[in-house]
Amino acid sequence: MKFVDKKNKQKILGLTLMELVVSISLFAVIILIATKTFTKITDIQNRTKDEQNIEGDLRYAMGVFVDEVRAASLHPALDDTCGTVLCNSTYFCTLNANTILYLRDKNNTCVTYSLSSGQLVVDRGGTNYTITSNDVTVDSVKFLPSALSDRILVQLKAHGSSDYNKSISYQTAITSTQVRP
Amino acid sequence: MIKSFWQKTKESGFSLLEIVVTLSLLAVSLVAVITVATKMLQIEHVTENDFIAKGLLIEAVELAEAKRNSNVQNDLIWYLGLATSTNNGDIYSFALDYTGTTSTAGVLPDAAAQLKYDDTNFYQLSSGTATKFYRRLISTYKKKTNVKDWLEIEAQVYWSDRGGKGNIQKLTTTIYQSQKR
Repeated sequence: MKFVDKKNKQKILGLTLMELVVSISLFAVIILIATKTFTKITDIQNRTKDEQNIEGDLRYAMGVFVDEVRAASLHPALDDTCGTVLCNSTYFCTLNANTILYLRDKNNTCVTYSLSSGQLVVDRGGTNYTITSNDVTVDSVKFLPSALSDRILVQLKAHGSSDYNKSISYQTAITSTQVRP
Repeated sequence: MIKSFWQKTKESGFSLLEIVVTLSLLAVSLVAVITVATKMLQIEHVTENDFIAKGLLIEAVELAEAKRNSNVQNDLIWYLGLATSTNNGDIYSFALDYTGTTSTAGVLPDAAAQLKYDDTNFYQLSSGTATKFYRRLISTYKKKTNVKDWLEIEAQVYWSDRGGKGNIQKLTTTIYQSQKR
C-alpha cells in the first residue's frame, strides 16, 4: 500500500492491517508447526534413548541371569535356608506370586533375584547387587519355572526416565542343562 | 486516475512467480522436517519391536531345547513335539509357546502362529489380545551314520508395523538326541 510522506513529498510503501494480520498469522502457523515438529523430534529422541537404555540394561541383566541359571544346582532336600522348604529338590523356586526367584548357584550359594524400587537386585549369600541402572525402571518382573524345573521364563516390563506411559514388555526363556549328550 | 484492483503497480504486491517460489521453498522445508520426524518415529518403532522380537526368538529356541529335555527326562521320544517323522531332511513347521501350546504353522504371518498378549500371561498363543508378532519354529530332522540324530531348528519372528513392514528375524540352533542324566 502506498503512503505519502508529507515532509519529503515522496510515496513510500507500507502494509495494511490486513496484510500484517495475514503475515503474522502465517508466521505464527509456521512457528507452531516448527515448534511442534521440534518437540516431537526431541520426544522421539528421548524415547529412543530410553529404549536403548532399557535394551542395554536388560541385555546385561539377562547375561548375568542366564549364566547363573544355566549353572544352577539343585536345592538339596529340606532346604529352607534358600527360599522355603517348597524349594526342596528343585532348581528354581519362586515366591511372592513369582516375583522373587531363589536358586543355588554352581558353588551352592543361595541366590535371590527380585525387584526393589524399580531395579533388579541379586542377593548372593547376603550381599546385594543391583543389575539395572537408575535410567531404567522395571515395573514388574515374573519368573515362571516349568513344572520340571528344566527351564525358566522371564517376563518383565520396563520404562525409561522420559516417558512413563510407554513401557516395553520383554519375555524370554532360559533352559538349564539337565540332559547329557 | 483511480487504478482498479487489477491495474495495481508492480510494487503493490507479489507476482505469481514470487508466491509460487516462496510457497515451494516453504513446502520443501516443511516436508523435509516432517520426513525426518516420521523417519525417527519409524526408527523408534523398529528399535522397540526388534528388541521384543529378539527376546521372543531366544525364548523359542530355549523352549525347543526345554521340550527335548523334558521328553528325555520323562522317558519320551526325544523329538516329541519337535518333529513328526525321522527321515533325513524331514521338515516340520510349528508354533510353540511357554504354556506348552503347539500347533502346525505355515509361512508367517500365519494366524496359527500369531502371539497374543495380556498383562498376566504376556506373550503366548492362547489368550490375550492379538499382537503384531508371529512366531514359528521350523525343524529339519537330520541323521548320519555313526552319529546321533539331531534337529536343525530355525526360529522365525515376523512383525509388521510402521517402518518395518513384514520384518522377519531368524535364529538357528541345533538340538541333539540326548540321554537322561
